[in-house]
Amino acid sequence: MELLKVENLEKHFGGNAAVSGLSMVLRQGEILGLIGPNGSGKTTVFNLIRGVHQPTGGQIYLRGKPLHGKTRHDIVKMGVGCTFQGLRHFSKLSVFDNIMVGCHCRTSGSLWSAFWRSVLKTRAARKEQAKTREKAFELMEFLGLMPYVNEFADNIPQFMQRRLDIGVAMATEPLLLLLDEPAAGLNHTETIQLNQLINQIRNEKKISVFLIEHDMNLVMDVCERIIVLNYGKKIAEGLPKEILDNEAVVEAYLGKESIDFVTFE
Amino acid sequence: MNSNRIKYISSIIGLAVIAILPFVLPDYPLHLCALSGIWIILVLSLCLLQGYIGELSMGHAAFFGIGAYSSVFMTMTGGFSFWAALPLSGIISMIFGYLIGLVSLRLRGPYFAMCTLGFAEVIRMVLVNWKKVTGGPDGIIAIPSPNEITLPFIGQISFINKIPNYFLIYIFVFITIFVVYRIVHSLMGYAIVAVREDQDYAECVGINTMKWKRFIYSISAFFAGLAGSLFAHYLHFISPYSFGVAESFDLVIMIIIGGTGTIIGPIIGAVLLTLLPEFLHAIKDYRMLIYGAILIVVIIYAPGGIAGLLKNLTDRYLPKLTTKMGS
Repeated sequence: MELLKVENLEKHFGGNAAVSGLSMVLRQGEILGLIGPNGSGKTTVFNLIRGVHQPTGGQIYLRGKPLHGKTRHDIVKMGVGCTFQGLRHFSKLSVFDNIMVGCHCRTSGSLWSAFWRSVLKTRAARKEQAKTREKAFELMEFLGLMPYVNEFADNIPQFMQRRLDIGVAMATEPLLLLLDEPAAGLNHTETIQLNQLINQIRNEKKISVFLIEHDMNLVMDVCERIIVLNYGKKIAEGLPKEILDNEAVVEAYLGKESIDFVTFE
Repeated sequence: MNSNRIKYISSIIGLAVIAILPFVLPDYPLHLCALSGIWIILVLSLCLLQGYIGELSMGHAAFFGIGAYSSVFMTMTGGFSFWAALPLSGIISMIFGYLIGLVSLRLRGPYFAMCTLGFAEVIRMVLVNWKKVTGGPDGIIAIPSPNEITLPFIGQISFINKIPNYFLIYIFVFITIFVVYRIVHSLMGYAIVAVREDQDYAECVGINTMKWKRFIYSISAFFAGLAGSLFAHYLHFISPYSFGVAESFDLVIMIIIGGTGTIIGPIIGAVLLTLLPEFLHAIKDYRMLIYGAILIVVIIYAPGGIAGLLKNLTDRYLPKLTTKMGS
């Protein structure tokens, strides 16, 4: 089943075509990789999906519903969670508060009803608060963030901050998780743990993952299919093995020598 | 002894002091206490905006003025009872807040602050020049006291004297504290603080930041309007000079000295800056000079304001206290 469908996506910045004519499909329950040289338009594709930019042309559908033309917060509510390049979270809030902010998007009711419920602290409000807290703790347990619950987000190890970013995105209960270079700045062991985490997210939480990454070992190991971009155009799509053998990809991105370093585990 | 217990005990002590004060204080100090109450409502409404959702309004006294004038207009020209005019003036102020917010909240940070400053100036000019309704620069005199009411158990209350007025104001102080506390300590609080910390990122975790900002701005304007109505019927006299830029700045100074992002901080700031001028009578013209000096000292040595200092103190000495109590 198709979860995300992109048709003829175009994005122009002035005369510069960052993405041109991209069509692709992400199936339900899939881990899909997006690779390509710097400046090839990977992050632009992500920004178009999550509504940071509006496409110049083409359509994006999530389960048949259009995402183009929607605001960022609506897209999150429709089920697209995302992390950003580099670390992005509420750095002056605690780990727990960060996760709770993520959970907030799934709380019920309009603003005014939420206001009256909160001020009068009705039973429904207390129940919802307890439920949300429980959900947050469950998620922190899943991500291994429990030792840092009350720490400021900026004070925990970088690897954990990365997990926190993923956690905030997961707290919004997405169908699709966009991860933009999650392994940047991580060492070998941490990358392996990240690999396991991404698999767990898909297998246990049933969230499909769309991943941009430069670490070829991670991409080749974790992704089931890979799309390669160059100058905003799709130059290849297929299984990791096929991508490694693809002449055009080797030429544009991987380079002839680097292939020897990629090992399958 | 944890910090919750300290909060609990100190609020009970606060309540007791507020209840006893009117029976021990002479007339004038009591008047100052009542005025502090009005400033507390105002400063808490601004604190919700500045301290929690992170947008500084430099023209908050405009809503105070809108509340005061609309309440006076309703009671003196419209023939409304004070008890109807009080909530209505809050709601009118809130509608103004919503409409202004619709436009100005697209701006952020200092740009938003400048925009609210401009709005406040427009309101002041209207108050000065629309003589038919506002009485112009002379203001409006002989505003009636709140109407008499009969309450069960207590009986009839007339608001000619200071003491019932004092209690009326403090009832609304408690309502304001209660509502602000409940808002920021509920699930809503997470969304609000998220907007303060990082608006762009908050959008990307599913928070409609514009909607939240408009909502909080409206609520904030509502309480400022209530304070205006209470102020007008307590003093029996209003003029545009009570709702100018200086008053808006006073509010900001109160928040900074008291400590932003807390509830107790602005309250301390409001009380302090209402009482302080009384001790500085001899150098009244240089009042702003002293405020400026205090502000500089606070910003350099206590960025968290007085509330921040208090928190540091409790954080430092509480663990020792706990061990002592525990052993």
